Amino acid sequence: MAEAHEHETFETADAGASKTYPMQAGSIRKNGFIVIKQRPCKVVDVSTSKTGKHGHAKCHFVAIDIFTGKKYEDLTPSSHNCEVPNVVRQEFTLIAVDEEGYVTLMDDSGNTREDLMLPTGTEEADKLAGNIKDYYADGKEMLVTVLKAMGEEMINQVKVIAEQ
Amino acid sequence: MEAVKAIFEQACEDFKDPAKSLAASRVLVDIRDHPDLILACQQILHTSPSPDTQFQAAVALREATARRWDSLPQEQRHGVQGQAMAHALAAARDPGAKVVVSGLVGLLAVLLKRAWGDMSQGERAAYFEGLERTVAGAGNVHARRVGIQILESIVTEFAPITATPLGLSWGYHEMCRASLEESFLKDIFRHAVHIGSDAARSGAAAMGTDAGTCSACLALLCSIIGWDFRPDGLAAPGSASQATGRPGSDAMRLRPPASWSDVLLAPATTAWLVELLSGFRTMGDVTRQLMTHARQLLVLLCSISGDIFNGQQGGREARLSYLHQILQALLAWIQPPEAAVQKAANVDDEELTDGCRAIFALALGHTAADLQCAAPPDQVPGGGILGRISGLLLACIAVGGLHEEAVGTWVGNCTDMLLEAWSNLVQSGSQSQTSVNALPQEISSCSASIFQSLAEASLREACEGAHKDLDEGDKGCSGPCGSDDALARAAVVGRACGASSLPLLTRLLNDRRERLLQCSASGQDPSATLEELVWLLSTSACVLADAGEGETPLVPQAISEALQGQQAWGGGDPVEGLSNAILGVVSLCLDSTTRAAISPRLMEVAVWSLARWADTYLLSSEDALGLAMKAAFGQGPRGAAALSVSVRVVQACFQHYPGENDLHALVASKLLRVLTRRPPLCCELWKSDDWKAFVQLMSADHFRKVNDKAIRLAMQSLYISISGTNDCSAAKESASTLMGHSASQLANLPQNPNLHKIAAHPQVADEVCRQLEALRGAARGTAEAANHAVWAMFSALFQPLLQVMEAFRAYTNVTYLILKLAGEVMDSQSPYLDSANTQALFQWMLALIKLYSKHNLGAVSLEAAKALREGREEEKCRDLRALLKMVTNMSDLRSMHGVLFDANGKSVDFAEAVLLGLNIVVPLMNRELLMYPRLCTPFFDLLSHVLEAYPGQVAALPTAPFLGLMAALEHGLNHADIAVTQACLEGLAGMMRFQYEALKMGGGAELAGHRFEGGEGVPAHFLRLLFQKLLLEDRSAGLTDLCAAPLLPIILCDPPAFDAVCASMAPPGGDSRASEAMGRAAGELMQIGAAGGDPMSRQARGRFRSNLGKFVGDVRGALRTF
Repeated sequence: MAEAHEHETFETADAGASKTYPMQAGSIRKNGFIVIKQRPCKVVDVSTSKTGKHGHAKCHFVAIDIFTGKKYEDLTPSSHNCEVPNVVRQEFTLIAVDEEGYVTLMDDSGNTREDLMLPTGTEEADKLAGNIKDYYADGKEMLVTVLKAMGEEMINQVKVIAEQ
Repeated sequence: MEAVKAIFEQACEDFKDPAKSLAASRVLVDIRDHPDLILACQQILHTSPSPDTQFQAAVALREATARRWDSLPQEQRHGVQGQAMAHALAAARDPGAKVVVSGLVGLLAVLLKRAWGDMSQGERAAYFEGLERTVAGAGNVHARRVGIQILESIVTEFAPITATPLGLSWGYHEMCRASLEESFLKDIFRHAVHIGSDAARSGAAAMGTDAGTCSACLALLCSIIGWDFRPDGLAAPGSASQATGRPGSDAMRLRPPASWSDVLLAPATTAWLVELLSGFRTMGDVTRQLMTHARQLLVLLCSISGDIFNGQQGGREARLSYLHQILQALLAWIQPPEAAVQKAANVDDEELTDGCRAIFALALGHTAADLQCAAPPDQVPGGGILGRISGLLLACIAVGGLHEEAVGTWVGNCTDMLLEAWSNLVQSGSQSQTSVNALPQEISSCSASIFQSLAEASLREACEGAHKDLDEGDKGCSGPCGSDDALARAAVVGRACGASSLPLLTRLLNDRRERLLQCSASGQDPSATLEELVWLLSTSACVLADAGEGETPLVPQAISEALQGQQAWGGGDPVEGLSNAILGVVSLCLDSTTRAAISPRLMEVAVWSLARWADTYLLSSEDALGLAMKAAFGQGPRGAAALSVSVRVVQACFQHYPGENDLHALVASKLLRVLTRRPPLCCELWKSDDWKAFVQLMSADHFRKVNDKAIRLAMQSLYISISGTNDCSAAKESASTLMGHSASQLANLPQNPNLHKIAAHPQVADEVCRQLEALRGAARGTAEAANHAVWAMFSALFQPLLQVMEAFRAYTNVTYLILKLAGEVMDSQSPYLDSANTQALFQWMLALIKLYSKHNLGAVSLEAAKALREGREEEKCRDLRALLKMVTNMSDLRSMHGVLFDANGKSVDFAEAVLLGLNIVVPLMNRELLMYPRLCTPFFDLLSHVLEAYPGQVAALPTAPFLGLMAALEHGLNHADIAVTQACLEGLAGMMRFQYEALKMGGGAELAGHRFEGGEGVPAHFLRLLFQKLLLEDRSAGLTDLCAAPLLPIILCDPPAFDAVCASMAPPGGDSRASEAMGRAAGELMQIGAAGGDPMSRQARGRFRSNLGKFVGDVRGALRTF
């Protein structure tokens, strides 16, 4: 029965349309993901406590918004379910960067998209954008990883695969 | 001199003004070097009307004479000494000049110590005689007091712990200590006893007309008893060992040598003190200081133990009469106990605190039997000294000594000290009445009342604290409740009176269990009862059993002795009764109607207590157990039933306490581990239907609400338990079934045509992690019988796991867990594998490393916030550690299996794999990551190992990776941690030895082909680096020897580089003598007597090592001098 249940997990995942999925608060570990105040966050600290000496365990999460870097906190009973964002990473080959900062990307199957911009908004993001522009100017071939969660997307990693 | 005097006096005046004190102190420091200072200070002592100025002059004199001692003429030395003595005696009468006297007394002690080395034994004796003559000649009590103060100051100055440095060598201080102890200390002691007892007995001390002489004598005696006596000429201060971190830790354990028994144990030494203490208790403020000193002395006398009592004939009699005497004084303060405690609460707690300190010291140094003999019940009403101590403890507990708020107050401290003292006394002998150290029977009866009172107070405390939040500190200790110390002490007391404590605990546990059920039925708040049960359960477990901590705990001696005498107790076996009571509370979680009553915290404590109890008693075959216990919990149907109950408890915790991670962790890491630790338990488990049902549920991954870590630990225990199935095929089947679910999940996943789409979804990654954790548990817990089955499963998973790692590369957790799993499979399986299977494992690990490198090398990523970046560093560090472990394990495979052949009969190149691994790790490393010691040490160990084990392959690397390795090596050589530097030096030595041998054989071209920036060759580069480290930097001791190993082959490989480096070391445009000295040193360095012989022989290397030490000394000296 459990096997069927497992199989089912993989199948629903395959359908994969939802932005979030439920997970027991007690199972969410440090470096995992969680939704707090409708924002997709990465957990940087989790501690458990009890309400009074003989209450049930509660989890205290400290988490950071994966797109903006803003800090959030939340307290949830350990046995309750939390919303966990479907954080998806997809790799693309970078084809071009235009002057406005729009990039042209191509996936494994050869489909291209031109709707993403270089990352911006924080110091780190600007640094990464600078790296990408430099590599592009040097004619290096790169793979970029696009992080997608709850309807937002952002380039968050670059890797040089060949020098041209 | 007048000018110096004026400046000095002015500075002393300014010193009193806060605005000018800083400048004034600077002046006082600066003036110390003035040649006329000594004369000026002598003048000031004579003429100045101000005590402060005189004090400063005494201090300045002390400092100046000590420093300039060697250049002072003999007359001046005597002059200063004589003047200081005369002035101290003259100032003795003046109450305002106390500070001057203390300054002068200190000066006299320093002068004596400075002169001590040049004095003959006769002169030294004459000094003390002269001192006594002078004091007696003065003919007044003030002078007498000053005489005693001078002696105290001398004792303090000559004891190394309290000595001022004086710029003297350790040997000089040690000589002073030894000679004073040997020739004079006893006489000073006798003298102090004589003067002190005279002052006390004449009544002068009580009336205050002795000018503090008696007090000074007591202080001097304290200093002498606290002297750093060293048994058997040991140089290490081991005699006055301090019991730190425990109650009353300021109580010292003093162990004077046996030769001191004639003075220390003499009745005259203690008799006057006893009179003093019992005579003046009612005196007012006049004698307050006197009494404080007297009590301090008594506490020190109580702390005496060791050889002094054993080293002579009739040692026990001497001990008893000594104890008898000091107990007389002590009893005067503590009886009746209630009044003593009342007095402490209302008037003054010092007396009681000192009394408790004395009791604590006595309990550390003497047995209960000796103490009781020295003050037996017929002499001391109320049960002898033991009865008195327990009475005092009960009185302290009665006024709230165990209360949380008492911590740090006098009553808390006293209770702590007395409890600790009592547990020491209880443990000071055996319960068996035939033994020499048999505990007096009062111990048992008094322990019973103490335990009862302890239980009442603790339960009261538990009720009061039921609604408070848990402190952070309460978590994480070995028991989930309270502090370990408190539990351990309660256990010791409880065990000493098993006949009453066990039935008491049984009764209380059953009573509170009923009360809990009533609360639950009537809807009342159960918090107080729950908290009481927490205390009762953990205390019961601690009384009954010791913590095994991985070893097999035996039935505690006190309990087994009690069990042997159980017939005397009458009725049933109290151990069995308490065991049943514990099981009764734990079993509440098995019934759905009562489960709601038992909170997660109580369940945690219950599981912890059950585990501790079961480790000692469940299915135990120990002879120490009584018949009733053997029948109830030994090997047999009833024991098996108790085991089944435990298994059902495990299952209930997993099933009915969702999200309680702490509870699940305890169940998996403590209870399950205990249940599967001993072979009889494992055998019985596989006969139990409950266990089979639990295994069934685990293998079907039924406990979805239990987190991954607990599942891993549980799985580990399940695999260990397989050793209990004596049927080989059954073992295989169990092993396959348990892992079947996880293995098939992971094996089938890559066959899904939409793998890449599925892999984009985090919940699938979470699921993969869960299965991987279960597999890790299986890998770690494998029993020998199940080995084949487990290996078959794992080897079938090699390919799927590679695909999973590729597909889920975005999820660092999946990658990490696969790397960890690989290391663990290797650890547990490699000893059993044949060549072909080892080869398969090896290839798999190699593939994993390549895959990891493919996806992680050279990636630049963005993390929006600092916290996330730090998290990422940590993750990376974790991955790399797992990777390093794997690479190191692979290298170990070589030493385990020698040469391996692949399918085509080609031998497997370990070096290639290990270098590949290292080549992947090196670029991923950075300075930040190397800050983590847990990553840094294995990395450099591996690097060193590779350089030593595969120098040829390292040399044959292409230039870029080779230089990468060398850069890492250089970083390690300059590392602050000496262990890392040592590892790197060993690695470098290995590589250079290989190169030297290769050159000798006409090879070595590979290494010679590598060039550093600027065209520098490898030997020249490291030669320069090591010389720089040895000669120019601050080096730590031992570095020279370590550097010798790589330096010799380096110099032999490239002699011109050695000459060049030596030439470059000489300071440019410097003295020609420097170059000459360096040239000479360099020439001597290579004189290793190897002409015609092997320059790398053992003797040659030894000679080079000692030459190098001299070379480093010479060159550093030359560089500094010229």
